[in-house]
Amino acid sequence: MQRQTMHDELLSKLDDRYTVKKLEEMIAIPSVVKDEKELAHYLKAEFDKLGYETELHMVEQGRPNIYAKLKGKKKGKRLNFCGHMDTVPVVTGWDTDPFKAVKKGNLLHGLGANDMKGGIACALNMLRAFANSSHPFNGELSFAGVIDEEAYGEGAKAMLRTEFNKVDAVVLGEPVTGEPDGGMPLGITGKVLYDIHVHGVAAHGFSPEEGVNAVEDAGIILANLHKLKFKENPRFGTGNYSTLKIEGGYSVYSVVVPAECRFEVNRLLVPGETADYAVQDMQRLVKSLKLKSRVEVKTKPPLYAGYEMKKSAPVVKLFSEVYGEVFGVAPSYCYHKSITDANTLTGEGGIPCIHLGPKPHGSHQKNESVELDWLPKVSKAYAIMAAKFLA
Amino acid sequence: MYEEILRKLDPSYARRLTEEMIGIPSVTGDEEAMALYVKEKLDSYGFETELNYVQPKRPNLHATLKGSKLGKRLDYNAHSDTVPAGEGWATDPYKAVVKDGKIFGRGACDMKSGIACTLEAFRAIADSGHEFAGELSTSLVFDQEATDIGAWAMMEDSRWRSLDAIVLTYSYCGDESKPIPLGLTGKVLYDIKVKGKAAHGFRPHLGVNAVEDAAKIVANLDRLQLKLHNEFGKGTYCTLKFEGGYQIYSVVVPASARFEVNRLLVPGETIQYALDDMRHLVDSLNLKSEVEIAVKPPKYEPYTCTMDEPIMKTLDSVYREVMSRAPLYEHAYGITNANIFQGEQGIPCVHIGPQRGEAHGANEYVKLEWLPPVSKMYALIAARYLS
Repeated sequence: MQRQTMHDELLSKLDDRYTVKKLEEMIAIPSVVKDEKELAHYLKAEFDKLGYETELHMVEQGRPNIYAKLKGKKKGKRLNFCGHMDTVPVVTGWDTDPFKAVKKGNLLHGLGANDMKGGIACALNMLRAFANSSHPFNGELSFAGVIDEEAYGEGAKAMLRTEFNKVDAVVLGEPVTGEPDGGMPLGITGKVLYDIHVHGVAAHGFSPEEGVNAVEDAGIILANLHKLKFKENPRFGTGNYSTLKIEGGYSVYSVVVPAECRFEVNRLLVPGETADYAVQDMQRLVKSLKLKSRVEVKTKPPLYAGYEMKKSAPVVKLFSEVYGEVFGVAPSYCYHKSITDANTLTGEGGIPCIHLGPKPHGSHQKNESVELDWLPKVSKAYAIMAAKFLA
Repeated sequence: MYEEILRKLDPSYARRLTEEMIGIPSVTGDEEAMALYVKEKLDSYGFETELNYVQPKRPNLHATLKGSKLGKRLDYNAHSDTVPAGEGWATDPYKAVVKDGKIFGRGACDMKSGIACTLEAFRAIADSGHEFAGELSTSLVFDQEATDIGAWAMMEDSRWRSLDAIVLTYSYCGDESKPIPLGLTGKVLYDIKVKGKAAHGFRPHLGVNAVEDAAKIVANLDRLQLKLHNEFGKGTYCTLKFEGGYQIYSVVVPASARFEVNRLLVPGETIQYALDDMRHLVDSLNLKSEVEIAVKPPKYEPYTCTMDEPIMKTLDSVYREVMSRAPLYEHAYGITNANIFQGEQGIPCVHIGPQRGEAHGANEYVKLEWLPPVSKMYALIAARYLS
């Protein structure tokens, strides 16, 4: 009973109007990937005001991560709430200004509304409540706002190079609801980006037999990608591939057998498949095609490790318990064919990650929005998870 | 026969004009000065000249000399433009340098020496007072090294569409280096656009990958039905370019891709046949993408000619007389303006000119020894054909 009372005091400090206000303000600060600086300064000012110890980590010129910490009474575990500050670029077709929060019924529209300024706003609400309440906690409660998640994940990678890498768990405010169609990932695929260079021999295009056509040989490789050997993982199934880009041939029209062609293929890796395996697999495929071109199989950033967590892991159990308490149902889980900062934090850094955020509509699409009635529930779940983890 | 014309030929004249024209840069797009230079020469021989400005500063030049009685109409065709100088020249590409019996400079063989030989022959015919039937003319068209805007514009004019024969003063010299064409392949440039459906690249099953579908077409081009021609053999194909996918890195299933394939056509294969053939191939692949098959310029119809053609007979006999040997002939894999004049319009064409040296390359040259016989052949072909 006593513990419940203590949560009540903390929960009474949650202010859901504050969440919406912060979310609206953050949508109005454009932070398309590479341009995260203004939002980082906004968050730093907010945490300074709340009494957090703040730092900006300059990951690249003009691109800082923001790291804010609040120390508990005694030594103890460290829990971090992490959100990426960047959004994808504006796609065409928006009905409203993507940089202005627009309420339509239960939906709040705007670029980043769910991916993931909504999650950051819920975290702010909870972190503010901790700062404003007399709720005692041990260890350390912190927030990391990171750059570049929508591109190469450099922000999360930079966090791992600081003392942040010793935190005990991370909650990522990604738009993951724990509902059946948005299960909490117990594991995420890794990925490799193949960068394949095909070198042929130029000749006049009227005498193609005198050259080796790099574009046509690249075409043969692409037409045979289904022969890649995808390992079966009992939980994930198999990975997949998608060719992202190809370029080869003349720049200024000329009838020449192209000597060079380059293409990129994204491949998701299930646990059991490493980047080295993926490279060897592609080399095997290329060799089997007996092409006349010389083919270089390389990879380029970003490279992500996959990971799996056990359902019995302490943070997963905590998540399950709190989720049930707040949402009244047990959460759904999944093994996710995607990439988030957890690939870096868990896959590389070994820090267990929980994903939870408000319910999304249309991430990476026009008219992105978030369900407003999810914001209070998510803030509450964050608060209880933090209180229990840091008890 | 025709001694009065041959006496007027002056080998040093064609050489001097070749050197002067090398000194007039005329890279494609910048042909006007060349046209004006040649016009002035032809005016001075008494030809009636006209400039047809197809585009601003880009004229075709036509010059005609009427015979004393009605007869056939014979045109000598050349192009005024050259490819750019490029790298690697030992001398200034726009200053003629004579060394080891060769004139070096951009355009030396492609094709200012051919123009110079035509001018020498025409001057001789005009000066000699030789009486001929019909009409002798020359046409100097621009843009041959690009998309042949000049030659196509010339064929827009019914006066030139009704020519009886054309001598293309190109570097087909009738030896092993460049046998005289008995026909040329045509060509079509396929421009193929593949439209798929975008999706997140981690969920490829939700999209349709246009790059991968395009690659399936490219990987199956060997199934195009290239028709066999008795003389040419089969045409060829060559993918020239392939592009598709993101501009700024993003993990998205590409919704569009585009590629271009050059295809040489043999007689019996029309541009429409080539389009139908590609459509048939694409349909057989059962792709999910929508595939748009178009052709883009330049496109050329193939053609063949026979030795029965009067202009071919004239060329053959004049060649034997001047060169003391029979010319070599072949069905050639290549494209010239004859694809337009004969392939499209049916005007009988022959090709004859000074042997080429490093055409389109650095240190382009023409051998001096080729100029006198070529000028002589040009003069005799005209005199015989228009007799």
